[in-house]
Amino acid sequence: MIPDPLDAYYASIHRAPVPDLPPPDRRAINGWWPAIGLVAGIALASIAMRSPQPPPASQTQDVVRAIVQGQLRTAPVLEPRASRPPREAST
Amino acid sequence: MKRTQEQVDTFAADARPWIYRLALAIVNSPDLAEDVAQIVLLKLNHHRHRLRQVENVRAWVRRVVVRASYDALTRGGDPSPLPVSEASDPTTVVAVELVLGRLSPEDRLMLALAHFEDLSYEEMSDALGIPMGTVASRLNRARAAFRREWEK
Repeated sequence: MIPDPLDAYYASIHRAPVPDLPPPDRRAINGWWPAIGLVAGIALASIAMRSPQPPPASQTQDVVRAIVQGQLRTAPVLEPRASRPPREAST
Repeated sequence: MKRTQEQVDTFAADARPWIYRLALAIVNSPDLAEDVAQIVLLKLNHHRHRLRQVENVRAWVRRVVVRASYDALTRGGDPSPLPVSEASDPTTVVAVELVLGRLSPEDRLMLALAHFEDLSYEEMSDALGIPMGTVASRLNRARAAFRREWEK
């Protein structure tokens, strides 16, 4: 014999509120959209993960030669800013 | 038997509360039951054309709910308590919930199918894919386990 509490418990589930279950989007399951999304995602991820290519050796040598010959200036070295005087504590 | 697609879709829409509550009776957690219901609705939608040929759609859906609920139970997770405000006797509901939580997933499944769904041995056999003799012995074992834990 099953105790009554079990029946009381299942009776409460028969009255339990049902959450709003959104209808499944048919396109998301049956259509081509998942495949298209997957391919696009893989392509974007591969682009994002690709490391920047170093310039060809000949270009690098040209740049170094131009700097040595004074044809190309390097960026000026900036002086560090003078530190700001400490602010006086407000009273 | 061949149904129209409209009949299948109407059944799927009307069956939502039943699917959720059956899952809730098995997993005893609103959050898990909602997850299970979503899985079942997706499968139902995926097979909606094939379901026109299925003889007993309700039995087909029940098998999917049982399988998904059992998977959710065995996978574990963070159980959320049943909203006791819906219960006529909140203390009893909480106590039963605690006892069910100590039972195995298989025992909880058997009790839910027998006492929530009120299924016959034959229907339970179909839902679980096991012989009727096995249904009887497992149900007896589940009832005994509940009684033992309840009297502790």
